[in-house]
Amino acid sequence: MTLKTESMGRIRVEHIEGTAIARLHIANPDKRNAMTFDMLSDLNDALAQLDRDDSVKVVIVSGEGKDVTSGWDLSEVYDVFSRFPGGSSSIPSQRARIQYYSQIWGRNGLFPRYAQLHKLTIFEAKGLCYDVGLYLGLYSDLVVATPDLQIGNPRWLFAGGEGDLKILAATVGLRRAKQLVFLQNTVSADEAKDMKLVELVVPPEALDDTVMALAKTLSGIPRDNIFTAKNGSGGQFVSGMSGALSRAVGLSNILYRDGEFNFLKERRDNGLKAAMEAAESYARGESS
Amino acid sequence: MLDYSADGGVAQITIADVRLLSKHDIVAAKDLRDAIWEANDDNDVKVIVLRSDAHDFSPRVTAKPDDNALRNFTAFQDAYYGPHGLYQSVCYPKKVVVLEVQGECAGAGTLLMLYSDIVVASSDSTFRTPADDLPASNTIFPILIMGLHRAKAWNLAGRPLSAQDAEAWGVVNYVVEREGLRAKTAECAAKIARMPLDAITSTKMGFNAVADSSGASEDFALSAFYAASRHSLS
Repeated sequence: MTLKTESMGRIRVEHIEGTAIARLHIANPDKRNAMTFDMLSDLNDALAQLDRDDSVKVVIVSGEGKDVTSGWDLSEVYDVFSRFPGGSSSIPSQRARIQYYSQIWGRNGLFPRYAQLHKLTIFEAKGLCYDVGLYLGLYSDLVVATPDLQIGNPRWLFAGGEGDLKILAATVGLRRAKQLVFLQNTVSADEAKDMKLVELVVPPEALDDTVMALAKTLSGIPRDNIFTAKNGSGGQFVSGMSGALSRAVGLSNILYRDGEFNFLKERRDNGLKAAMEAAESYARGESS
Repeated sequence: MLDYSADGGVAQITIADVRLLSKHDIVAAKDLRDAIWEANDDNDVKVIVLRSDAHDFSPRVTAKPDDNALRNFTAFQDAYYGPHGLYQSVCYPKKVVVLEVQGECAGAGTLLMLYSDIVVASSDSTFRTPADDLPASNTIFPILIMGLHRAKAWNLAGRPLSAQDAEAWGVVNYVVEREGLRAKTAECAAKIARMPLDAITSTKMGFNAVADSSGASEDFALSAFYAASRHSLS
């Protein structure tokens, strides 16, 4: 099976020749596919191109290496605001925050683009699938996982319920969504299957074949059918995404009280590595 | 009617007799509502635990509710289903509400269960639909929690859910043996309380918006009228 590959930084698109299938790779394996701001921009561009490509009916999203993504690159958290007007001060402006989070949740942001892509999407959920990975999974049409999956968002514990809570509640149920956000933060592959976060769990060696077989079946659907169905279903996500945008802006500016874990302060005072270790320790209940 | 204490970010409200709520006791509803709002307005509180020391959290009350409660419709609505009523105070506060349930849970107890955020139940608990004894227009939350078909099956079949089925359906978050119930509830409350206060309130507002956009506010608006009209017809 030959591939035609286009690379945009750490986002790679492979068109599988002779098929209507493309693979979209998140490729930052040295950092467990952590998503940087540049990768976000490249991913938005890749999705725009794929949406315009009439030769593609099915898009498979996966990560290079053993994880799909460990979430947003924490070395960039907060610093990304400096890319926008008023974002470089010690307290970034509201407009900088809104402009940044609009890249993710706004009308032309990552998740609206992905959710409303006029192609069928299959998500390979393996290893760490945090944060941005959770939502790529939620907005995908099918999710196939491997047993080593850990899916969710560890940052909910100290950053609050970021993201589209509406689609999370619609997928797993309202009470389980609250359990995830307030208590559990991440779940295993089997728990994810019980919660309907994933459709299938297969051994790692079977992942490629399983996903490709599904993609080939889906690619037999006429283009107009796919386009019409995806076009019609996109509108249901709008209210949840707009809530996610406004909440993300608000949560980027919360006041930490005594005893509450402040990741940004830890990073500022002690560096990223120490801050991540402290975060993990706090999540285990070992410090206050 | 109830006991209130707060420590370590957790407010604990112990209800003496949940059956009073199933009987539409106005004073009982207002007392519980006021306690919840006290916790909601306390910046040192992040989690509100509701519980009862009775053997069964909310035994079934088959007798008709107090006539006077529904004849004075405004007072009934204000106490139970209105924007300042008991059930909306459980559903919409800025803090996380954790419900601890043991044994039989019916009538008003099931309504408290539906509107709480997290539910910890004993393995011998059962959950009867409120449609059996306290029918009102409370359809949205069962659907949001367990899905449309299961909600219909539960509401129409007249068979209480076991704790195990409730856990499998996502109605209950954790099921433990009775002797471990308080410890598990305390563990959950303590874990939630580690989240920053601002993060908790913002996240709760996000989930409240999910409920509202799914029709919860219309459900509440209809509930008092439906309960009153059903009473007058029966």
